[in-house]
Amino acid sequence: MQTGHPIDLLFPYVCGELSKDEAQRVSEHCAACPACAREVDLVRATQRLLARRVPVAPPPFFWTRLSARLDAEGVRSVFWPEVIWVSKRLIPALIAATLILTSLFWQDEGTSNIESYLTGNGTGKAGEQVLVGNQAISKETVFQTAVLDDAARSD
Amino acid sequence: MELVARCQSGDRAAFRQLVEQYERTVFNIIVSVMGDPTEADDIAQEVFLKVYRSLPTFRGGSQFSVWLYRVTVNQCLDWLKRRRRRSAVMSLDQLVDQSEGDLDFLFKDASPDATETLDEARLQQAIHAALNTLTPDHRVVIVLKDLEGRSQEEIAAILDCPVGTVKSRLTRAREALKERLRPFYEAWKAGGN
Repeated sequence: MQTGHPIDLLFPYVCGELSKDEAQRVSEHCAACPACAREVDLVRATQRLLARRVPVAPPPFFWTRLSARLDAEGVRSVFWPEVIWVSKRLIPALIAATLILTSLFWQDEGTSNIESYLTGNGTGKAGEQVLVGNQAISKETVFQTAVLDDAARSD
Repeated sequence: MELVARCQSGDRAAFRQLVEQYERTVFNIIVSVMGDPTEADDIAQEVFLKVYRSLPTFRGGSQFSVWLYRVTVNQCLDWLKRRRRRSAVMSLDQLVDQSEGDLDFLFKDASPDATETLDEARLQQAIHAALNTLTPDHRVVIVLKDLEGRSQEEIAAILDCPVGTVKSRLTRAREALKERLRPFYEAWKAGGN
């Protein structure tokens, strides 16, 4: 097809999407141009074919089936928000409780170890040595040093 | 919008009314875009379930129908991406072969007595077959514009793209459809019509 033929305007022309002036120009062109007139015929046939489409009716009982699925959805939508609500509160509470219990347990364990270490009771044994810097010192010495330090501070 | 507001407040009867108001259009968009009615029921169910779930978040920034058709089109495009099997619809060539080369069923003007069931069924299949030759993007604009009568602005809102994109897709889709029909139309014309 030569340039100057309003090929891109033929569908809008047939579909009534052009302004009055544009439609007039296309109409005049087609009246004088057999190639475009034939093209308009094909465009009309295409649009006519589409226009003859019969709308499809939705299958029967569409709502009944959808409603059943909505009921199932409803059960889920009631159930899950509750689970989420409870989880949001329960999980942080459980974490907090675990942390508190763990810290209490470690604190208790730590204190009893220091006590037994300094006094030589419990799990610690008298005469045992500990490393202070690079030197091995007996626990009794550590204890005595601590007592002397306390006494010096109180003076 | 009042109906939508009632649905948002959990009124099931209002949702039923909403479904009944739009199901025909939703179905027709699905059948045309999919080119095959067999999966339309499943897809329509998914569309309305999605709408039901999302209704509380619908703020009315756009028309409800535009939003609903956007959900419908997106659902169809998702299904087309996932679909492994080919559409059960026959090709145009197969349909013409079946009619032994008689193309009247395609191009003859419909008249009150031209309602032969076989021809009508074949015609409807031919329309789907012709649409099936287009890409999904092109099919969607043809369906919304030429079959559902939506404006280009509405289609742009439904597809969430500029009006210029809709115009160019529409031009290319219509051209592709015309070219697909050309050999049949020329053969029909050559037969003295």
